[in-house]
Amino acid sequence: MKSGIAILILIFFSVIHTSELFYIPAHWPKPVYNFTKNPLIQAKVNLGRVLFYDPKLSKDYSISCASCHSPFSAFAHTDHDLSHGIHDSIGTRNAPALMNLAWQDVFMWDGAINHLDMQALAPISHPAEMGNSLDTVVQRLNNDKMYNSLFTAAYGNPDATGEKTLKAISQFMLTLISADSKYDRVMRKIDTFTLQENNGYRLFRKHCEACHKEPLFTSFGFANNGLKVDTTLVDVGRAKVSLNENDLYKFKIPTLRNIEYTYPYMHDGRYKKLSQVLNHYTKDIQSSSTLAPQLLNPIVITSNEKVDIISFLLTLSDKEFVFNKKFQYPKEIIDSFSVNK
Amino acid sequence: MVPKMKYLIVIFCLQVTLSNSQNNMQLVVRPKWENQPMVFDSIYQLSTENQISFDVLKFYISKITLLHDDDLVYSEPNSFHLVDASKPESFSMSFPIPEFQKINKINFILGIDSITNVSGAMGGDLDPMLGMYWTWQSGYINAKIEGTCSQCETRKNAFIFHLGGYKQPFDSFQNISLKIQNVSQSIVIDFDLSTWIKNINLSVQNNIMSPSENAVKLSKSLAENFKINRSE
Ligand code: HEC
Ligand code: HEC
Repeated sequence: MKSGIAILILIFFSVIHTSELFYIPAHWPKPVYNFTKNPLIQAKVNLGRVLFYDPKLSKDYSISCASCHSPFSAFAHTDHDLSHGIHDSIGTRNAPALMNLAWQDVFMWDGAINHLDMQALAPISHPAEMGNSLDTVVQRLNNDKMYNSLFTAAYGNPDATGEKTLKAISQFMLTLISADSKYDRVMRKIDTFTLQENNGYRLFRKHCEACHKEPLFTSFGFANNGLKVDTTLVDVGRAKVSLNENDLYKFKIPTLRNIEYTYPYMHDGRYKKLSQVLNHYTKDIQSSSTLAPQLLNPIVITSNEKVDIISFLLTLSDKEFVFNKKFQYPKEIIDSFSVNK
Repeated sequence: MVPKMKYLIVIFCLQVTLSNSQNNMQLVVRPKWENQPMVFDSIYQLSTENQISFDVLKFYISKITLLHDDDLVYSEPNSFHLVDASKPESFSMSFPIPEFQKINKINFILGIDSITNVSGAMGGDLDPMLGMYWTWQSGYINAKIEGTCSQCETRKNAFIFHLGGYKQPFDSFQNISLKIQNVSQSIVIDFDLSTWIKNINLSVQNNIMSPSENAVKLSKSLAENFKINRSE
């Protein structure tokens, strides 16, 4: 009986904790991440945030997750078309923005990763990214006094394991919710679009909504949006994972939230500006057997209308998100957990 | 009234003793080369011309259930075992089954089922730090078999088989069901690597590291080489 009450109290508190760290914005669908297997608590989010910013995760201690996923570009990698890893090696794809990951079921441009917890394994082990192994990372963490205390705070004992490490990184990434752009405020009826933005929104719903579906601005599907195949990379996209030729050149439909901050665009970062993206959709669609049916007929819009669409896309910028201190380098946590305390 | 009470007490005590008296059923899975335990770096004769040796052999045995005449006797909770030929302690498992209960069938999965594959990070034998999880494309590696063979025209004559895949059409985990003569103490399963690898033309096929049709084929034949040892 007593233990029953204790459990109830525990559940109550974990719910409270979760709601502080995570919430479902109004009119959004239910998240797909299974929180019952990894309930958010502050100490685990803290641990995950320290890990996210720690170059110790890479083989030569040179790069962290944040080297490629910077908070100031909505956790994308700006200025580089293909992400740079250790020894300045260059990966074959552009680092996507990270946000609203609790709603996403598969990850990577080709959907190769089936669960958020498993995502960190890929860059940690990739020779062109962090070039390390989870096994070595766990050993390093176990030999580090600061991590001993961070793990104790999070899990009740100092021992790091692969599971705990990956789940803590997920915890931090799950808190990265972006739902406070001008668009969101307009939807909540506390702001209004300009005429131009409004026209852009109308055109967006007509031409783009099928794939970049509101409110997350992605349907979470895969599509071939008619990009010309880069012959130096020959990236077949989804087909690489499914080994199915019907998936050739299909890529994850990315969210367009914070698109202002996440240039360059597309899986290989080929476009630097939104105007180039719009020109792609109106002029450069390459036909092929897997081209998305929505793009078979050319999108006909005037150049003014392109500008309107861009002005709408800029209403998806969420400054609160990009400048949120809780998502940035965890100086305060590192200070309070440092050894000589 | 009183005799009835006594009767109830007797039943009660009987139940307590019955439910408390358990027997540990031992399961041993032994990697073999023909009739001998497989030993790393030993040189085995693959054919008259070719020699072979192994340096990695790991596989998952999961979702173990014990049955008697198709009645479920025991289903192991959280049943995931990584059998690693370099760690003989990983060959044995034991399950508490009721005393006097006999078993004549064992069911298990060679590898990891689809649902577990999409359930995120897990601990124990499933911890991704054990190297049995693909990093660049999610999914458990059901079995890792590596070594060298004079037949392989590869760097250092190496062959590498990482068999896995949980999604159709390349789902490669295997349901195995083996009949046993009535036993109450122990089950010994032998896995003979020689019969499995002799079926592969190593000069052509010596490297599998992702889910594919060939991975499925090799996983099926792997499963066929798990057999009950009836002599022990
Ligand atoms: C060297 C640069 C680099 C580093 C370091 C890096 N990433 Fe990435 N990240 C990428 C690239 C590039 C992709 C897209 C790769 C692909 O699709 O094949 C990506 C994709 C992702 C995604 C999937 C996003 C989506 O929408 O599908 C997540 C989540 C992620 N990274 C998290 C992390 C975490 C956590 C770390 C640290 C453990 C990390 N990344 C380290 C470059 C990097
Ligand atoms: C058939 C589905 C589809 C339609 C319709 C569509 N897109 Fe896309 N969009 C995609 C896919 C898929 C990608 C990623 C392609 C890649 O990188 O290979 C993408 C990428 C983008 C990007 C780059 C995002 C990034 O983070 O790199 C922008 C911006 C964009 N689309 C805007 C639009 C606009 C504006 C419209 C309407 C004019 C539109 N899209 C219509 C599927 C679609």
